[in-house]
This record gives sequence, structure tokens and C-alpha cells, in this order.
Amino acid sequence: MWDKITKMKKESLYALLFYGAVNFILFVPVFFQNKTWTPFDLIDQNFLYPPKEKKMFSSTATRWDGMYYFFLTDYYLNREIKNFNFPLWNPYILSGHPVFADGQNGFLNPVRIILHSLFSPWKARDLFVFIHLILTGFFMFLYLRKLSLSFYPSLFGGFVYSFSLPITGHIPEEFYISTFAYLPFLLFSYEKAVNEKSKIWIAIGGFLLALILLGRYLPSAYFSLLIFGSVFLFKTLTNSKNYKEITASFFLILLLGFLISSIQLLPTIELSSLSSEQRGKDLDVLGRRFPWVFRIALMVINFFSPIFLGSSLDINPETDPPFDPFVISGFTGILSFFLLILSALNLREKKETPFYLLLYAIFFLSYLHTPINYILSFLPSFKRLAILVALPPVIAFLSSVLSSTGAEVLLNNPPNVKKWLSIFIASLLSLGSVIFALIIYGKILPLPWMSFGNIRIFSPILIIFVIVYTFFIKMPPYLKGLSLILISMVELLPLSFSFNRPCSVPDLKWEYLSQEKSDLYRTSSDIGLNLYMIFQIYSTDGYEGLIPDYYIIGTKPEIKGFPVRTFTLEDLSYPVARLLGVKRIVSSNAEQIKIPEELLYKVKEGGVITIFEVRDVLERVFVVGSSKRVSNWKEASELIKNGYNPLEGVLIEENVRCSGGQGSARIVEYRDEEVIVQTHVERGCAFLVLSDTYYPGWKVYVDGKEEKILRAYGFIRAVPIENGEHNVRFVFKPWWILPGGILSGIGILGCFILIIFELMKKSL
Amino acid sequence: MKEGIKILPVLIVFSFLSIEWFKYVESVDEIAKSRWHTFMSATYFSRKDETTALKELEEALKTKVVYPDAYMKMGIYYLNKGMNEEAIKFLLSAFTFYPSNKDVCLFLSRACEGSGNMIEALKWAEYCFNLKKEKTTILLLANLYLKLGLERKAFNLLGEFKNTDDPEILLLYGLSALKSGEREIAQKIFEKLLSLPDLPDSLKETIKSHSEK
Repeated sequence: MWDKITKMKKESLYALLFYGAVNFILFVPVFFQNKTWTPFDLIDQNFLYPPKEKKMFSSTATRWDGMYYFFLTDYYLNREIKNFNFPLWNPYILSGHPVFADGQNGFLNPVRIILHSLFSPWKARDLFVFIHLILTGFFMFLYLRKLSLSFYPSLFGGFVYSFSLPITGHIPEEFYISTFAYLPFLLFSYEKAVNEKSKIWIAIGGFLLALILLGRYLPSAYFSLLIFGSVFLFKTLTNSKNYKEITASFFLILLLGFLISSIQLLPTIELSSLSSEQRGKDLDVLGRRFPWVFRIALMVINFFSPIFLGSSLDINPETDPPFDPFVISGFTGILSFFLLILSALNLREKKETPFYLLLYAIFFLSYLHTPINYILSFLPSFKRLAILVALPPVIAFLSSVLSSTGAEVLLNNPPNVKKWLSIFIASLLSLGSVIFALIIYGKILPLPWMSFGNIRIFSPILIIFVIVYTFFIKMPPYLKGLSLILISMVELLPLSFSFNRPCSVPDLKWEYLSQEKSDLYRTSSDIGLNLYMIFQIYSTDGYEGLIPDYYIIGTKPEIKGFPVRTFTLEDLSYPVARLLGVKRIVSSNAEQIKIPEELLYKVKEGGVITIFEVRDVLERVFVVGSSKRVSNWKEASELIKNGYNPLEGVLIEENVRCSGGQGSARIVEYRDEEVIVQTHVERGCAFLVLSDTYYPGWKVYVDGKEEKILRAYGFIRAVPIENGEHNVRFVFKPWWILPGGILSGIGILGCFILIIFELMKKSL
Repeated sequence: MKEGIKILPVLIVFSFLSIEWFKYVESVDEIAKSRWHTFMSATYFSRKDETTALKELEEALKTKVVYPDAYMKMGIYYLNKGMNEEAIKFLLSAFTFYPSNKDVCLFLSRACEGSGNMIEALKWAEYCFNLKKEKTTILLLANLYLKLGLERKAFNLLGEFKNTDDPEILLLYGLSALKSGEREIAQKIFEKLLSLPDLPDSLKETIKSHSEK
């Protein structure tokens, strides 16, 4: 049986076992010590028990995203799935927000859905990362094999990619891995589809592209698409024979990928169009706000410094460094860099090398915010999606491909001159990087750090020594390949451990609000923007990739810089608090509260948290007897910010004849996607106001008859009601559900048809 | 077999670095634990809960690898309590980690002054001043010069910053000028000081009394 398996399949199995074993080491704390890679200890430290500590992990900024966003949305998904509910509307943050439209929740990734329906949120997240880390390496291995690299260079490339700093250095975020794990396999499928004229591989490619588009980060998906498009262009230009297959396969994969992901792309496009002022227009592709030192630092940090600096804990938080290498580096190891240079010096070795080198140069220059971004900004949506933090995994991908090519060159014994030259260039740049890192960090590193007894000093030196040894000693290719993998392992594995720390699984409780959360009033606090969705507390606050302009800009007293993606207690003024029914303020720092003291009263103090109640706030629903017309939402929100009394008249943009009435309203039922209100209006007509965020897709039925929802005060909902008793039902029925569902269904069906068609053809 | 030996150096480096990195990763856990307790203590200090804050700080100092800030915070605590000898002990530990942190030597200077060791206090103040020439370090050093009767040195030092509008520096400059016998300069400085807007009344009184002298 074993003898019948082809060599290629055996090697693939070895590779899979290798990546599985290496990742297993990383996940020992998860499997055997009841720990998790999700930074729960940070959640605990900052929000649930003691107050927010701004200095905490100051040099690992993206970890905040892991806590503020990714883990919390996963927790929310986990609970909802287990309740057999797939939420479309999240009422707990930002006074209500569409779930699928932010471009980074990744709810529709089937692996995520399966894991979250079976396991606890933290276990599901850890398993998702574990599976995807193995797949990242394995898919890269397959792709490199497809590029005709031999076993060891391919195994090396897969390892380097899956353990590069952007992938394993940021386990808590897992937003890179949700998209970049699939990129090599997409390219592999494309190669197979073209070379074997296989429709099955087109279908697989379509699924993979959909997974990328449904991933956690639209900018990552955008760059993956750019690489996919570049590969298509390269193949078109260099391969005149298979022109038909190359073009047809590419466009079919694109079509299928976009069709399958329509169910998420359509709402994202909708929300994106509503948040145009918030994000995109001012994206600084040339990095004018970055000093030159920052750009040079970006460059050198990629070659050497992460291993040199060890971990973020070595930096004295009393003095923040001018930039954050841990977030922005596409580091793949010192050895990888040496091999990259070697491959650049042997351009003729493989026909793909010049192409990948060109891509590397383009993306690296883009990453440094050089004028190349002027040219790239002609690409559709480049200004809106091409942001700095999305580029490190792109650089890591390209660097892994090139260093594997370099490894192949090394195994074929290139001339000594080229080896020396590559060592000279790489050492020069590495050394430059260390000198630069010392200039930047020298003063804030602890004194005992600067000694040869420090592993962060002697480890790179030893690694360079062993690289030179491996470069020049004559040994069989398998031993040389093994050496490269061992060196890479000892470089990259420790980084994964020192940049992420496993945490104990805590019992999440927000004791301070457990008694008060039963009503429909909102809460605002300075202790965690999206925690509300875990504790099912309604809030004005939140942190999302996309937020409608009229909410985020319309409700904030002042806007400091772009893009604006958060609404916090610091942004809450009394008029907005009153209108949105923010009855409770939970604060660890009362100085941040902008609401005047006389309008607050202290309810209780617990540990380091103080809870205030805001006087005279409006209920979630209320009735107003008249209206005042405004030209747009900006005018309405200006009036509100300047203290306009909402009960004097509803601020609306339409001319609606409705006045003279007065009445009352109460919420009979409040569910995520449905709100039922019982209202009574006396004399004439009045407006029923529901202080949930106005958003397309919400419909209102008064006694079963559909009416138009008006945007009131610039950002919430209202409907005119005639006198008498009425049952008012607000329902979220977004327009995209049907077309999105149909298009996704067509995409999935198309993939299956292609597979069946191919199988039938083969059986005939 | 012969060929296999060639990989030995790589294997040795691999094993050695693996063990060393393993130790380092363990130290990262310890230092993280220490840092956590240090931050907790800062929190309790800010909430005026000194007992719990001190317990947290003691926990921070118990770990195998101590987060250097813990030494600093403990030093400051003892300094504020007037226990200068203990303060010096902890601040010196902090200094070994952060010799470029001006706050460490600033506190060390104060602790030495508190313990009566004026020579050491002056040494630390000069070190601090050389690290960063800013208001706190200038005032610290100038004050010590004046206390030690080195008026001319204080006068020369403050003379470097005479173009400032900072009332505290100007006042010290005026005083050092007065004590160094530079009456005309002192008079000019006091006049400049009195012309400054938003000068507190108490300070005006002090300047006038010195000016009259």
C-alpha cells in the first residue's frame, strides 16, 4: 500500500506531519495546561477587575484589536450559534450595528462556524489558529513544490511563512492568518487549473478566494487579490501557449470567489458607502505624517531587529519607542533574508524569481510609503484599503517564496563569489538594522541587556556564524536542507513564544453591572469598547472597521483625526447621552467624563470602578408631538450637540405633516432584529422615536402596514403615528439577504457543477 | 556517516540556542508577572490604597526576573515615606537597569540629600543634569549648589538658561546672583520676573523682599 503512494504524496504527508508537530509544540499549553493564546489576562487586567492601564503592552498595539474586537466578536458568535441564531444586527454596540458589514468579523468562514458551534470561544479560537497555522505552512509547501522547488526548500519556505512575525507573532489577532493561510493554496489551485486544465481546481480556487474575501480583514483580502492578479499577468506575459486556460481559469476563479462571498460583500459595500467620510478619503498613502526616520526604521526592522529585540517586554514602557516593530514587521528570519539575497543574485535559476523579486520591491516600497504609492493609488480602492498594517504578511509571503528559491540555489552549489556577495550584502543590511535599532532603542533598553550574555545579542551572532558555515560547507542536499530548517526553527519558534504568552482561561464576569443590565437603558464606559456584546449590555460605545458617518461623526463632540473607528465615553456629551438613553456611566477615571457633574450622581463604587447615573435621560422609545425640518444629518447633529431639546420637535430631513399629538410608548418586545412597541397617541399626529441607530434595511410596520422610517436627529429612527392605540413593529430585513443569498448559492452551485462535470468527464 | 558529521555544528548551535531561548521564554513569563504586579500597585497607589499597593509591589519583587519598574516604584514609595536608606537601595537597583532614565537619578539625588549625604546627592544631580537639561534637573542641581554654598557654581549654571521665562529658574538665578555678589544682574532678573504675567502673589512678595535686600 505504502509503496503504491507516489513520492510527491509521501513528501506532502511528511510536510503535513512536520508542520503539525511544530505547531503542536506551540500549542502544548493549550492542549495540556488549560491555557489559551487569546490574551484574556489583558482583558482581565484592563477591564474586568482593575482599571484601564494605558501603559500596558504599549508596544504591541494590535493586541488591543485582539481584545477589543476579534475575541469579543467571536464570543458573541459563539453564544449566538449555540442559541441557533445567526445574528444580522448587533444591538449592544454603537446603539446598534450591522453584523456582517464591517469586513472583518469573519463569521462566514465555515471552519470558524463549525469550531464555535462545538467548542468554547477560547478553545474554538485556539483550534482555528492551530489548524490554520498548519495549513499556512502546508499550503505554502504545496505551492512551492508546484513552482518546481525540491522537497527541502519547499519545506523550509512553508515553515518560514507560517512562522513569520506577522503570522505567528500575532496569534491573538489571527486576522492575518484568516486570509493569508489560503493565499498559497489559491495560487496552487490556479497553477493546477491551468496546467491540468482541471475544472475541479477552478472550483477549489473559487472556494479559496471566497474564504479570503470572507476573512477577517478586507485590506489583507485586497492584497491577496493583487498578488493573484499579478500572478495572472505574469503567466499571461510569459506563457503564450496556455493563454486560453490562464485567462479562463483566472476569471472563473474570480467570478466564483466573488459570487460565493456576495452574502458578505454586499452589506460591506453598503456600509462602506455610508462611512465614506469616516475612512478612505484621507488615507495617507505617502505617509506624510511619518518622518523619514520612521520609514527607514520600517525597512531595517524587517531584516533583523525583531530577534534582536526579543520581545516587547524588554522595552521600558516609561519611554515609548517612536514606532512599533512588533506590529509592522514582515520579518521572516535572518537566514531567510540571506537566502533572499542569494536568490536575487541568481535571477536566472527560476523564471519566477525576477517576477517575485519585482513584486517584493513594489510592495516593500509601498510599505515604506514611498512615491510608488502614487502609481499604485490608480488601482481600484487602493487608497481605501491599502493600509500599512496589511502589508507585513504580503512581504512575508514574498520573502518566503524568494528565500525558498534561494535555498534551492544553495542546494545546487552556486559559485562561491555569489555566496560571499550575498553574505556581504545581507550582513551589511542586518548590521545596519542593529545599529539603527540601537539608536532608536538603545536609551530605553535596560543596562544588563547590553552584554554578550544576553541571548538576544549572542543568538543572532551564532545564527550568522552557522549560516556562513552552511553556505560554504559541502554536504549532501538533504543535510543542507535539514540545516536550513533547523536554523530557521531556532530563529522563529522562540519569537512565537516570546511575542505571545498563553493565559489562563478566566471566568468572565462584569460584576459591576450584573444587576442593572435588565432594562433597555444604555451604558457608556472607558473600560472596553465592545465588551458589551459579551455581557449583553446596550451601549453607545464600540469599535468597528466601518461605522456610518452620521453615527460616528454626528454623535461625537469633536473629531480628532481620521480614520475614526471608535466611540467611547470620552466622546459622549450630555445631549447625546440624553437622546440615546445612556443612563449609566461606568468609569475608572471620572476625569474623562464630559457630562457636567450636576447631571450625574454616583450609584456605587466597586474596586476601582465608579458607576454614575445620568439624570433625565430619555427612554429607548418616546413620543414627540412636532417636527423641525433640517437640510441634512450634519445640521441635525449640530443642533443636538449644541443642546437642542429633542422633545421640542423631531429633527428630520423630510417634510412630513404630523403635529399636535402627544402620547406614550412602551417596548413590548426587544430582540436583535425585531422591536415591538405599543404606543398611544392623543389628538392629531405624533412621532414615535426609537433611539437605535438609523440604518438601511430596518422596516417599520404600524398595525401591520409598512411605513417609512425617518432618520431622526441625524442618527436614530422615527415614524409618524396617527392618534389612537397602535402596534409598531421595527424589523431588520436588509435588501441584500435575497440577492446576496442567491448569488452566493449560484457561486457554490457553480463550483459543484464544475466538480461534477469534471468527474463525469473523467469517468467517461 | 562521514557526511552526517558535517551537520554537527548546526545541531550543537540548534540545541544550545533552543535551551537558551527556552530559559529566555520562561524569564519573559516571570517578568510579565512582575510587571503585572507593578501595574497593579500603581493602580492601588492612585486609589490611595497603600496597603494593597505595597503588597502588589512586594509580589512584583518576588519573581525570578523582576520588572525594573518595580524597583523604581518601591524606591519612590520609601522616598515619600522619608525612609531614604531603603529608597537608595531600590533606586540603585533600578539604576542598573535604566542608567539613562533621568527620573531614577533625580530620585536618587533626593534620597541621598534626605539621608544627609550631600556629596552623593550632588553627584547624582550632576549625572541627572548631564543626562537631560530640563527644568527639573536644572532646579535640582542649582538648589543643591545653593544649599552647599556653591553660589557661583549655581550662578554660572543658571546663567546658561537666563533667557527663559520660567519664574522658578529665574528666581533661583536671581538668588544665586545676589549671593554671588552680582547685584546688578540680580536686580535685572527680579525686574524681569516681576514683569512676567500671571505671577503668583506669594512669589511677587518673595521677589520684592529679595529685591529690597
